[in-house]
Amino acid sequence: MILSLKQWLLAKKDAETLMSLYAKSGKNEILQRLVELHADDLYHFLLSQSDIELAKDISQKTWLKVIDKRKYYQPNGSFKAWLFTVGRNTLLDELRKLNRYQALFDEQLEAELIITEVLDNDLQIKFKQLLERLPFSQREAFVLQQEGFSILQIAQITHQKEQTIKTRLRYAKSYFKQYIGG
Amino acid sequence: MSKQNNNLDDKLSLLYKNHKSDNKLTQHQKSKLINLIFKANQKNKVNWLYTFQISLAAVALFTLFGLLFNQRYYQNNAENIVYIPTNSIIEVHYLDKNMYHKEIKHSDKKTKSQLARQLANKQFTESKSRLESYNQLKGRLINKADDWYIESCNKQVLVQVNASLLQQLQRHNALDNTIKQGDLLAFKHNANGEIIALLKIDNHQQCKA
Repeated sequence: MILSLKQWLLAKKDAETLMSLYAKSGKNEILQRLVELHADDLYHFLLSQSDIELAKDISQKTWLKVIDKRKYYQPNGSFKAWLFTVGRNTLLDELRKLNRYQALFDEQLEAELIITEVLDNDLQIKFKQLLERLPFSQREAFVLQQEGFSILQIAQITHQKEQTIKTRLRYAKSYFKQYIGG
Repeated sequence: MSKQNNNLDDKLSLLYKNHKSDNKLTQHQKSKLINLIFKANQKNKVNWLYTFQISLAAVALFTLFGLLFNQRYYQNNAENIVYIPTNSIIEVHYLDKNMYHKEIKHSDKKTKSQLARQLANKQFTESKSRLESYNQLKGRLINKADDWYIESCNKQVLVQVNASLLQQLQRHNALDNTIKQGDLLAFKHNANGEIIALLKIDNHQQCKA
């Protein structure tokens, strides 16, 4: 009874409050609530930037870092933005280890992409194909925007200027427009 | 144009949401993730406890070594270290505000029983009278820290010469620079019983009171 009441109370709190509580107490049930709230968001972001196995692995590592770095969490910021920053940094570190980091940015084309292969007629599959073919940094900015982050937050997560993010988003949108239409 | 953009945004948003719901962690994967991080969280707490224990042990060891090897502590307690039960009196010679002081302390350990007290009193009286009668006394330097401890040859008197007095003796060239622990020394006293010089005697000479 007390446990379910406790869980009900936790369910009512936002991620920032939960993280502040977790930073102070280190309690498992609070951490579990945070995982339930944002595990899918983080996993999907990582998946869009890598592959299934790497996304699962980095997802675990990111949550372990949340445990380790909980004392550094600043309660005035968004927990989700902090989580994604940790996740992104972990992913880039891993890609560096795998020697896949440089390739990501070498293939980065700010100019419009031209896709020569035949895209699926199903719009959802087409979207998936287009997303996968989008350059790393544009895909990153697009996914983060779809996750609800502002231009400023995306700039902070990716350590880029706001103007750079705006440009990347503009290219990404124009690319989708070209193949999906308005 | 703006309406077209809004349509595109809505379309992309919907496609993204569908893509996300098709690519989320399964319940099993989520449970696995939760179990893994629970274990890590637990380990994290244990590690903290372990670190705390190690730190505590280190502090305890540090304190112990500090107590054993701290030079200041050693010097302050030199009297206890050099104390020899046969010394019934301890003379302390020191300078304070350029005034010569001499204190004669009675050994506490000798007063624990009446018999010991009687014996100590007897020795004290004897030693004092002997001291007064000598204008030159010999003894062996048994401890050389800031203060020096010199045991008289008859082992009845332990003379403590404080650093202040040693400095003055040095200034007046009344202190042999080559003196080291274990050396046989001769005191020179003035008429008031004050030490005016400490001289090194050849170690081959016998220690005679």
